[in-house]
Amino acid sequence: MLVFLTLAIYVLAILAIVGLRLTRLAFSYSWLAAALGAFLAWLSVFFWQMILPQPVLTGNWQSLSFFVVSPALLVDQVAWVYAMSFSTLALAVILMAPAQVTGISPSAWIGTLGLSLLALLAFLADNPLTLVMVWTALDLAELLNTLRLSDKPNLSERAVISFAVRALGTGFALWASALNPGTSGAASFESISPQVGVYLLLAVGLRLGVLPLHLTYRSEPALRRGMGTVLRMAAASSSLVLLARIPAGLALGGWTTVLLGLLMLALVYGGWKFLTVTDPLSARPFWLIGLGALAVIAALRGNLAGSAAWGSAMILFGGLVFLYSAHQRVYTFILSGLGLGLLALPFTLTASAWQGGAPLDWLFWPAALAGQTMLSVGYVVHLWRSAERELAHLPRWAQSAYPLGLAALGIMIILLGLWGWPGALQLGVWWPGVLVSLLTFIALVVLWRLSRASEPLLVRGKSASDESVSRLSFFAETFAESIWWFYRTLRRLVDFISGLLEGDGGLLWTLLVLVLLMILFQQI
Amino acid sequence: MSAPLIWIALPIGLAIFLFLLPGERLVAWFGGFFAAGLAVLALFAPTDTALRPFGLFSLRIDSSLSLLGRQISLPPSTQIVLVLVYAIGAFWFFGTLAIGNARRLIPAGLATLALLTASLAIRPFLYAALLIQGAVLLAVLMLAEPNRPAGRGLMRFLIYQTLAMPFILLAGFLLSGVEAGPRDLAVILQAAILLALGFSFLLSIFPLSTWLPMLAEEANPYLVGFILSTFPTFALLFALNFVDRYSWIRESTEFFQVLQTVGLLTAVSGGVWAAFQRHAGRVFGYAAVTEIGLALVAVSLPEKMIGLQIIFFLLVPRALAYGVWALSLSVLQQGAPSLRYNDLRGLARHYPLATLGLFLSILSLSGVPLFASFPVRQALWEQLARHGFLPALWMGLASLGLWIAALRSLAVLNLAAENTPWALQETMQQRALILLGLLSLLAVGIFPQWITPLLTNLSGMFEQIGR
Repeated sequence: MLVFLTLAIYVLAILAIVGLRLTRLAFSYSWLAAALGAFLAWLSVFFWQMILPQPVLTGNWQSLSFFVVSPALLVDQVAWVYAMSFSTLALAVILMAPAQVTGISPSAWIGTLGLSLLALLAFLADNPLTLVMVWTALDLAELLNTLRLSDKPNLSERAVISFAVRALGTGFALWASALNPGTSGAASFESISPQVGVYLLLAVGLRLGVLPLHLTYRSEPALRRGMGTVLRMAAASSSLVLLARIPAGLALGGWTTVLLGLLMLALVYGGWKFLTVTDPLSARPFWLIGLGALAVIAALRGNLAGSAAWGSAMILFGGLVFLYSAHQRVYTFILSGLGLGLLALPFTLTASAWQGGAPLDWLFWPAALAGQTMLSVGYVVHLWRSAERELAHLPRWAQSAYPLGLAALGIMIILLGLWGWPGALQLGVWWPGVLVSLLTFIALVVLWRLSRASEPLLVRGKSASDESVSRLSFFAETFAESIWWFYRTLRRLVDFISGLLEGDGGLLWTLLVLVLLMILFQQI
Repeated sequence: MSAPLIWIALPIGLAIFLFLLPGERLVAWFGGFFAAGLAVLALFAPTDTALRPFGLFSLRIDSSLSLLGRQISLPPSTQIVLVLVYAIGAFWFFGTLAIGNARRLIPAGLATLALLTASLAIRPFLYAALLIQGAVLLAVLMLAEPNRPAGRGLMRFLIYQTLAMPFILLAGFLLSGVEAGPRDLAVILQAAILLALGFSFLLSIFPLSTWLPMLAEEANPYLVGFILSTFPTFALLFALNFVDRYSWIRESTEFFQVLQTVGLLTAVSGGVWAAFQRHAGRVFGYAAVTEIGLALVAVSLPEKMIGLQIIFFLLVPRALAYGVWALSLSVLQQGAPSLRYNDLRGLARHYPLATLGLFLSILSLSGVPLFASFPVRQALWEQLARHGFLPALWMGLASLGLWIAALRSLAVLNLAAENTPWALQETMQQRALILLGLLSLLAVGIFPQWITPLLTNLSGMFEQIGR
């Protein structure tokens, strides 16, 4: 019931905003309804703790004998930590909305609440069937929103390609579900066999853009800071949650090393790009790639709590860095301090990040630590970049709401390090955390000194970063070109065969093919 | 009152009346409500069952009627078919309110539905071939453009469907003496070859499916949609009657192996070909080829009852998707000289809902989650995967082809020139119908159990298969 209460609050808040828009009341009422709804939903997620773990819903598709699996929802600690993080993000987005330069937009709040609802459903999904349904809903929401906003043909094309890649990931999850041995199918994540788990891993990798490394949105239409962040985070976190549910002991054969190599590449690339791209919103895709890679690495090592920790960090720290548009020095200091939670230090949100059954080959450690360091440094650097506007220039009510949004995210980062789920209150593997902390500290000091001495390094680094983007895009374009060439060749073949079968002598050709098929079937 | 009079003779009579009736909208309303009424009647008044409507009087609809020494029978087990056929008919007929063509579609369509229903009811069932042929001729009248020569697709539709009839009748004649068992293997072999040829034409299996994309390219998409949602379905039911009747077919493992291969080949050919098309109408035709293939795959499943349920379940999402797709194509055709991709570029800015309808209906048919075909496609995929990796892979390929076609259509429709503003040009009726169709696709995709009541009587309809 509690879970449905949360979902119902989101639905009611959306309906209230729609109703208020129809009655043409002032925008402040809509904002109040959105904020109240997001707050109540956030509060209700806390109380899920009282019922963990519990099946919430089992659909009754099985009334027909051929439906082996029905949609099902389960609330457990993994679902809770993701739901807590995401509902906090939604609350923060709405509280901080008045401070955004893009202005007040009830439709963006409706979008934020709706996406939060879908994201929560993804976290609660108890089998691949349910998850792929939510994934599709999220993907379609993103696709239609991007198409609506894009005013250039190449942006529309990118939106379709991005949807295609994600949907391909969904296809892998469906394939895993179909191939899962046993008569009961993939009725729950627990019944997934390690043999098909690899397809789920590929599904997540494709959807996150880390396996193989790809960047579908090099440029995107001007999505709002808040709504855009929720949209991207919902798509990424709804994929990441699957990692915490993949069966332990994946049957990967000799592919583990190759996959880890690809993931390290994605991590280092994501980390470097996140650090060097000057605009936080442009750096958002790289944050998702970097944190996504860290989460997949954790899952590959059998550290499911670790993958959830990275997923939660992605949402909460991402929320802070991408929503922090109106600056004040004291807040910047506090938020930078919160960055300790990204370093995998004991008793922090990411303490469990480097735990795990399978040891990581020493060859990969430098890349892993370097990637994490760059993401941590990037987090602090982006907080200190010039603000869209100063907090003091905002209206008084916005000045009050804005810090509350930041506080919600900050408090949640601290709280989840200490309470509520298996990754909380962990000592973890301390030495990577200490090493990353040292490296981060040194890097920040060097950057600070350099920025004081001359033109900021990270501004100078822009051209280099652009070059590396263009290099990746060159590879992507080359890859796409080769696929396109293959497609055109096949199309010529298909056109040729169609021409034969549909032409004037088509009937004769058809009969010939039919006779050949009958001869073939005689051998069965 | 007998059932054949209500569900066969009455629609034919009304079809003649509607043919004479002037006024597009009047015909649309009449035809739509009449078909819907017949569906509702079939749902609430099963044949051979005494009913007391509101406790006022007793009513019983006899299932049989004798005509020229032949029995026409619609027993209670055919209730599902009657409901589906006339509900689907109503769905198509009401659609003409938004896109026109009521006078071309409804009179001929209603008579076609009646003849196809009769093809299921007639005993001996071999005569069904003649009734299907009659329906084909009516369909040709419907599809032929006035004052224009018949296109190649239409000619091929007529030829292929007509060629099926002599093969099937001849096979039936040969089999009349050996219905009970395989006493004369030589005759059975000859009959089997003739049957295979006949049903290859009738079911439009690969490579005899060429008429579907050709017809979809040249004819009105809405009329083609109606043809694609009715003829292959009835051809399949007719084929199932054969399987149900003859034990030597039913008990032959080789037959089902061949059927599975043929089904997969047809499905893959449809899916792969769809992925490479540059004409939105042709994609529609190839999607229908894929659907035919998948229905054959369902028949070939070792668990026969599950196969039957899947076949009948597929009818609803297919009809919904075809309906939305055909409606969307018709709307898009109003804004473009043809349905070639080159002519459709950027139309999404002016016809956003039709674009959405087109895209989502193809996605639905390709088995994408959330949409109507997904639950049953996934179930079929799982069933196939249980019996082998390769068949499942082939089925995945067929779906992938349609999915690529959906994405290509969307990409082309969105290729508008820079800064083209959005301007909705669909009429209110078109918007309402497309939205209603899309909501139905979503509803069936999320709550497939709502269709379950329709599938309870299947074992009565195909007694031997259902055992």
